[in-house]
Amino acid sequence: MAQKKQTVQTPADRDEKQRKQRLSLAGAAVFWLLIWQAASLWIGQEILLVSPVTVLKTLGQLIVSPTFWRSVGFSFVRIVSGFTLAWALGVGLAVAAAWSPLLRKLLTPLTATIKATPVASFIILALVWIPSRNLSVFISFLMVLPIVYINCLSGILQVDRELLEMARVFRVPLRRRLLYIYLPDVMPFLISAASVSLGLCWKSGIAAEVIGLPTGSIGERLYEAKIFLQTGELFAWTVVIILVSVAFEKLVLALLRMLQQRLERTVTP
Amino acid sequence: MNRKQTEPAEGIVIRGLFKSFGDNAVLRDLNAGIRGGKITCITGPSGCGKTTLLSILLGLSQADSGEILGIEGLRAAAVFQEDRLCGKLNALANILLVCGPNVRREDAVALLEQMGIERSHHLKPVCELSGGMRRRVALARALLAESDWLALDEPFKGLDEQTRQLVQQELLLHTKGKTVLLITHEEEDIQALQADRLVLPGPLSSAPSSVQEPV
Repeated sequence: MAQKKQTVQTPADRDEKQRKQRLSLAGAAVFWLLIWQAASLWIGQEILLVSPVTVLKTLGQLIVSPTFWRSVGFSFVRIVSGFTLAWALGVGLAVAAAWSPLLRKLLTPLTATIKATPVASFIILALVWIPSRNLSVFISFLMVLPIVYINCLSGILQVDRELLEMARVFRVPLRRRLLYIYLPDVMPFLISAASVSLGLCWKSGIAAEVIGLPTGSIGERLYEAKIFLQTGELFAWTVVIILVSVAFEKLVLALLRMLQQRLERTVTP
Repeated sequence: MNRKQTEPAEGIVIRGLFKSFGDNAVLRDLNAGIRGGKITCITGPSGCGKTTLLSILLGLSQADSGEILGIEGLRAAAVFQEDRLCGKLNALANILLVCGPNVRREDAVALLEQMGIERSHHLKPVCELSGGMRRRVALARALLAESDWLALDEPFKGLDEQTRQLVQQELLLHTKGKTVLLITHEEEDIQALQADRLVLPGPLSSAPSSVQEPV
């Protein structure tokens, strides 16, 4: 009888696999950069389609100017503030709604409406009430809030009821219940909420800045580049937004995963 | 120090207990007395309300009517019909999660070993243990937890004869002077534990469930 061959993956195998994945990803990126460069050369008008080389050069010029860092700082602080506020309120509301079915019912149409409404409508509406300087705080907050609330609530509601009953019978203190029964079940939902909301907060926040045009923001620089047909700068700022958004996403997800691993390591109370 | 080890525990009195699920009356006018500080085995055919009775006594479900005296404010420990262990946590963590600093790690290790679970299994996630091992972990958790009375729903389920005897010895040792309610279908368990007996009538019986004179 043929024996089933069992393969055990060692850390070295895992590293090799990750290295190969990174290489193939880099290969795909280079392929599309070459297509972009070729298309730009074929069109022959940088105002219509700027080449990646020009974008890189423009980015190099931007980075050395102090106003670049001020703009990045301006937008970063506001968008991250909105994101943080949405997480604080979203988790708080989810905990409250898990206890109160009435609150859950009340919040359902609200979150559904926020999710379905185009972000541009909110931006224009919010401009009536909020100064454009703080518009991106509100918009990124509003876009992230329903994602955090819905994910966190789903996580809390699917925590094993039988384990909770067991904890009740044995009178397990709240701290231990949170740490060992709730958090391990809710954590994957929080990580999923983070990965969705991190990109969204940047997209919506910058959209708010482009419409509200607060002085000294990335959105304003992006808009100016479009008005003055500086396609190189337009692309360069877009690259900056992608880089900052990805870096922030990686940082937050790494922190969350670290917390999850720490939790799993300290499971022996 | 456990109060119940030095003072005789008072009994539990059940009067006129009714519980139904929809049209299905599970407990009908149940009257029973359970001696304090003793093991009482609850027996009866399937569907007669044994688990429902424990669930009501543990405060996890509400009786339709009737009263229960003698367990108000007392701390319970339980083995449920299901093991109710945190699957990702190891055996020791499951015990310490419930018992906290009141139980020393060495005591938990010793009890698990006495119940026939080798040390090599103590730090494995319980989802990787066999059904019989998980059952013993659940029982060890109930025996070590600080409690005044215990509700054990088929705690020997899935255990072979030899292990069953080992576990019964530990049960007797750790529950001295405590009131224990234990569901079993096995006559041998009642004999081995020298337990009182509470027989619930079958679900089709029309007689009220007055099974034992209240203490």
